[in-house]
Amino acid sequence: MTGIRILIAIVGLIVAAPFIALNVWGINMSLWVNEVTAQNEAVLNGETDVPVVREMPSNPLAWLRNRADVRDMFDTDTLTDSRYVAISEIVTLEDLLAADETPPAEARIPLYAAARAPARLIRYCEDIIQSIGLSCDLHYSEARENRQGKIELRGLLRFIPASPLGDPSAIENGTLIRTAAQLPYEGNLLPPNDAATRRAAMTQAQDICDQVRTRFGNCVLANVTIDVKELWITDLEALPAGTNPQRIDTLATFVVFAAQDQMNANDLRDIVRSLVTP
Amino acid sequence: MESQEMSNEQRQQDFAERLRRIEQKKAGAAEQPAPQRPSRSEPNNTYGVPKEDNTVRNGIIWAFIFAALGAGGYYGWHAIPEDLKQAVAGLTSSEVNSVASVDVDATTEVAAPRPVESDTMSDQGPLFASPAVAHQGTGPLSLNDIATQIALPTGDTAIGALLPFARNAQCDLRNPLPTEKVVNVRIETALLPAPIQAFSDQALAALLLANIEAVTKNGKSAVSDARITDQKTSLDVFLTDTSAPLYLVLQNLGPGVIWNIHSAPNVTVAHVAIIASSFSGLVAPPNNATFEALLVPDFVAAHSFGADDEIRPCMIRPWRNPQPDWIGSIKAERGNTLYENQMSSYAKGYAAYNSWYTATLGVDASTNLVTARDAAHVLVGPQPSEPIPYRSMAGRDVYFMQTDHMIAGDTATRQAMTERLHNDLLVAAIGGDASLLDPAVVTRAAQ
Repeated sequence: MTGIRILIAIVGLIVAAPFIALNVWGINMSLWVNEVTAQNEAVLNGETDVPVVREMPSNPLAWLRNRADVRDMFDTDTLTDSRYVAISEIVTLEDLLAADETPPAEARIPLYAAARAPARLIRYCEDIIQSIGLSCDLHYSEARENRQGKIELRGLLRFIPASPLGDPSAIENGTLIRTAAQLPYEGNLLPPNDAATRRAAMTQAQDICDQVRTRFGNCVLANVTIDVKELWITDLEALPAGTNPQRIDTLATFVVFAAQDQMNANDLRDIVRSLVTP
Repeated sequence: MESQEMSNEQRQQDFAERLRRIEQKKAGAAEQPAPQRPSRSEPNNTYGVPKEDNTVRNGIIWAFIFAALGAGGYYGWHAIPEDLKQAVAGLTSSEVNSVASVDVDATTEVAAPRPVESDTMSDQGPLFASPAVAHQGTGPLSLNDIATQIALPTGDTAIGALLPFARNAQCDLRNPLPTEKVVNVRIETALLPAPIQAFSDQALAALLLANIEAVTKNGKSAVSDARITDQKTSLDVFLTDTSAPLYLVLQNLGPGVIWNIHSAPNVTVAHVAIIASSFSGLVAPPNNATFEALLVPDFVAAHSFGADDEIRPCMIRPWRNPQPDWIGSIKAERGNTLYENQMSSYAKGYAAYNSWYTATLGVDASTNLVTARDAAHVLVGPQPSEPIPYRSMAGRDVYFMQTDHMIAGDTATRQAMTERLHNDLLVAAIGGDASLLDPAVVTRAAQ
C-alpha cells in the first residue's frame, strides 16, 4: 500500500513538474516585464538616463523545444526550414513571358505570375551555391502585384551551408541564441541588385558567422533576407544615367548554440554588431 | 524411594498447576480478546452483531447530495442553449423521425415536438423535390396533376443551341404595363438537372491559382485536380393565369438556374425579368416573350452576414421573407439566438430588396408570389382543369447570360471540355509542365 502511494506521488510530481516550472517562469517573466516597463517609464520621465535591464528569465523548458531546432539548424545532410535565403524580385509581366508570347487577360495575370515565380526564383540558387551553400532548393514562392503595377516575386531558398558550423554537442544546457544585423553599405545609396552584389553580401554574412564561430565554437548563418527596393524616377534623375534602379537591403540572422549561463541574445548582438561595423 | 514419590507427586502438582494456568489463560482470552488484524483468510463474521444506527446522518448527507444535483441540474438545464436542449431531448425521444410540427401550443410548450428539418421543410422554408409542385395554395400538388407528356431534363438531355445574351448593364428592369399582371417566382436552388455548365474566366483562374499555390506555398507534391464545374440546374415554371398578360419575375438566391416556362392555353407571357445570383439561362420562352436579366454580382458585392441589412440603391439580392412555418422562424421564436439573428437578417435583407423592387416595378415583391427554398416545379396561377403538355428542354434553344465559358452537352462531353479548359490554362500559365512549379535541387559542382 505504501509503495503504491509513493509511486503515485512520484508520478504526480513528474507530471506536475513542468507546470510548476512554467508557472514559476511565468511569474518571473511578469516581474521582469514590470521591471523593464518601470525602467522605461523612468527614462521617459527623465528620472534616469539608461535603463539597467537584467537578463530576461530563461524558459526552463526551452531545452525541450530546442532539441528539434538544434538538429534542424546544425544538420548539414538535409535541407531544412531553419536555414534559408529570402529573396525578392520586382518584374514586369513581360519579364515573365516568352519573347513571342501573347500577354494573358487581366484576370489571368495573378495566375501566370504565381505559376512562373518558381522557375524565376530558382535562378537565385546559383547565387547561393556560388557563395555560401553546397545545395539549394526553392521552398516557398509567391507573387503579387504592387502599387506600381509591377509584379513582386518572393521566395524562400533553403540551403546546406558550405562552411563548417561547429559542434554543438559538447554544450550542456545550451540554447539557440539568435541575432539579426543589417549588412552595411557605402554611401547613401543601397547596393545594386545584381548577382555579384548579392553573392558578396552573402559571403560577407558568412564571414561574420565564421568569426563568431571562432570565438564560441559554433555559428550558423540561419537566414539572409535580400529585400529589393526600386528607386523612384525622381531619385534616378539625380543619379548617373544607367544606374540600376533596383537596390538591395540585406539582413542576416546568426544563430549560436550556447550555454544559457554563458551567453544571451544581447551578448551575441553586441558581438555581431562589432563585427559588422568594426 | 520416598524422595522419588515426592518427586512424582511434585511433578503431578506442577502439571496440574500448568493445566490450571492454561485453562485460566484460555478463559481470560475468551473474555477479553486481544486486538489483532483480521486475517484475509478468515471471514470477519459480524452477523448478529448490533450495528450503529446512522440513518439520520446518512439521510442528511444524501439530502445534501440530491439537493446539489437538483439545483445544478435545474440551473444547468436552463443554461443550455435552446437548440442543444432540443437535440438532447431528441436523443431520448422516440419521435425523432416524426413529421415536424410547426404548431406551437403555448399550453403544451414542454410537450411540443421540436422542429426537425425534413425532406419537405428546411430552416428556410419548404422544399419541393420532383414530383412535388410549389404553388400558392397549401395542399400538396404533384407534377402529374398539372402536366402531361412529362419528359424531365437530365444531365444528358440534348438541347438546341446555347445562345448567349447580354445581361442588363443598368440596375433597372422594363416597367410593367398597366394591363400586365406581375407574378413572382423566388427560390434559392432549382432541383432538376440541366446539361449546361458555365463559369467566368476569372473563376477558372482563381481556382487554378489556388491549386498552384497549394504547391508553391504549402508544399503539396502535386497540383490538385480540383475543378470548377458550375453545373446548372433547372426549374419548371407552369403558368395558368389567364386573367391578364403576365410580367413574370424569376428570382433566385443560389446557384445558376435554367428557367423553363410552360404555359397553359390562353396564357400570355408578356415579359420575363430574371434576377439571378449566378449565371443563369432561360429555355426559349413561349410566344417569343421578351426577356431581360440582372446578375446580382454585377451590382452587389459578395454577401457577408448583415451586409444587406440596410436599404440602399440597387440592392437586388433577392432575399426571401422569413415565414412563420420556417423551422428557422420557429427556432428563433423559441429563443435560439443564432436563428433570431439569421431570421432578422433575412427579414432586413428582404426589406432592402423589396425597397428596390417596389421602386423599380411599382408593386410589392410579394405580389402573386410563389416561393420555396428549393423546388423542381412551380405553378403560378390556379391548378389547371386539364394537365398542360410538358414543354421539354430537349431540342429547344437555351438563352444564357454571356460569360467566358459556356458548355452544353452530355455529361461525358462536358467533363472532357472542362478538363481540357483547366489543363490548357494550367500549362499556359506555367509556361510548361507542372514540374516547373517544384524545381529540382541545385547543387554545387564538385571541385
